[in-house]
Amino acid sequence: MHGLDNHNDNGWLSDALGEQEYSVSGSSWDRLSTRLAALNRARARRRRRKAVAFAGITAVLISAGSLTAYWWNTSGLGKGDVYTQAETEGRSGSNHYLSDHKGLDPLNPAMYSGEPANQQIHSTDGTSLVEALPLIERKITSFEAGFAPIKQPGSEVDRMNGIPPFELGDVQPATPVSTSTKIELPTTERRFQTRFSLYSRILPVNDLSSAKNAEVQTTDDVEEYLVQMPGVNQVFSTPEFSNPIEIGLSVSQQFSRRWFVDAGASWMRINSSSRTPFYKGTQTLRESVVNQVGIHVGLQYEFIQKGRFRAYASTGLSAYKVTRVRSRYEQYVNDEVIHRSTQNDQPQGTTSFIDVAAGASYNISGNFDVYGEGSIRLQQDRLLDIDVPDISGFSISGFKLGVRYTVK
Amino acid sequence: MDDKQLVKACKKGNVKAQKALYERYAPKIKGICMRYAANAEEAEDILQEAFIRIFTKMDQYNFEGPLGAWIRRIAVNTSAEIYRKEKKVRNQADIDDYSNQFHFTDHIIADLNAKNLTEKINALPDGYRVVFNLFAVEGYSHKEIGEMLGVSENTSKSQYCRARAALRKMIEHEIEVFNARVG
Repeated sequence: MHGLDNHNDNGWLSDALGEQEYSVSGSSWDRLSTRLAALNRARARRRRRKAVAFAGITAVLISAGSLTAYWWNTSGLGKGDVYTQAETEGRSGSNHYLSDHKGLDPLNPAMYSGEPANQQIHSTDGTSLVEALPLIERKITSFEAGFAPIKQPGSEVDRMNGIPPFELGDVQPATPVSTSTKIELPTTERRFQTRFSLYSRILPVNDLSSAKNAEVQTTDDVEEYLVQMPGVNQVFSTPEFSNPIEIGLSVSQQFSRRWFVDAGASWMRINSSSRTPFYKGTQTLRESVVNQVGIHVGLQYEFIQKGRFRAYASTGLSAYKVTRVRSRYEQYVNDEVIHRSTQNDQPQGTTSFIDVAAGASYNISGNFDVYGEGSIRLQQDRLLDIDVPDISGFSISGFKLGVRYTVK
Repeated sequence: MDDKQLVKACKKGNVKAQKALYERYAPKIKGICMRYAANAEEAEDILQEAFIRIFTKMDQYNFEGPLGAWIRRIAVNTSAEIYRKEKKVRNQADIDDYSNQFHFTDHIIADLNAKNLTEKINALPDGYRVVFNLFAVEGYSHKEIGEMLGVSENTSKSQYCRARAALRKMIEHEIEVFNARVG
């Protein structure tokens, strides 16, 4: 079957057709660049969605872990509630429940005297019951000590527990009490802290080389005019960011031993520079100073509280709004400035984020702490319609340094 | 800017570099696309698709071998893939019908210039055209063509035979017409 399985007689065909060239239409690149830009935007969207999903899952995991840790740490505190009247009555026959607690002496005669126990019951180390109870459970606001009719000395249970029998005459047994005696204890107040923090956030600026394909929506008259010209249907520019500064103030309120709710506001300033080439030798340089204000709310969980040192994880939401963009324009033709102008752009929309952070603080003196925090900031929504403060310019990770004043 | 610099810039997403690369290679790639497409519009679509893949897969190019060959391979694969998706390859034909019928040794078509030949290739039915290009011009084996197009090796052979037969018929017809005019 000649020529079916070898290419020997087709070499000339390959030579003749293989290097053939055809002219490409002028609109071909425009079509392609539009498709590439759309692809890049779609990729960026996918990346953002993944990031948001990751942040959400991380936030849920941190919250779940923190809650579990909280419940685990506080699960023992509920024991105080066990000693309610019902159980007290169930166990008071041998008075063992008191001997369970911090050296309280069940043999103290005062326990059987019928006198108000909060004045007369003492532990073996001399601590009054009132003083000892907070050690058992701070959350108990009332304590019901039930005294059922006392068994005769030397009962079986007492013997089993090594309690020597009473000798009649040594101690006057208490009058049997048929109803429980309620002992009102002073409420133990938990002092929750309020913290005021002043911080500065460092936001590394990203290399935007991968974002250069992004189609830029123009905002100034010159660009709009050029876009309307034949053959110019898109304007591309490459924004470069520098000198980001963010200063903020926040208030944290403790609502349990390890949990804090945090809210605050911040101000941010960043410089932006974009150079937009148009026709041969013609380009526009725009240098802007962007100001934005932000607010945030979040939850913080302190998982290490050791001496002066605290370590915590937090998650929350923040939103930023551009308040002012002051821009300086320079138009060049062959490196010669032909036009200069300044313009205050209108305030823009808001951008919201999910913040996940971990940090540590150290108490330096009295009420003052210094703290540092690493955070991941994931974009939730973007409403900006100008390129200048394009958030793609910022790293998703940031670092915060601050000083904190605690009202104790 | 040489190819290496262009590729590096393209990998960073530099639009200017992408445009330069496109302008450098698009005419050659369009030549390939023209052979696989039935018409200029279809060729333009294949060209667009091929360059989308080139730019999105640019990270995979590690400077082993010339850039032109890598781009050309993507363009050919894109053409074959588009064709395979459209399932234009006919079922296997009876190869025996075509055995020993066609011989290019007389190089009848060698007298045609490349553009004229391309026009004739374009006039071939889709399946013939793609297999003919892959085998005769690109140099793939029938086994490779079968894998690329999702058909059997024998189907590729039969398509190639039919393509050659059809081309020969077209050229002979053209010669007859030419001789009738002259004579």
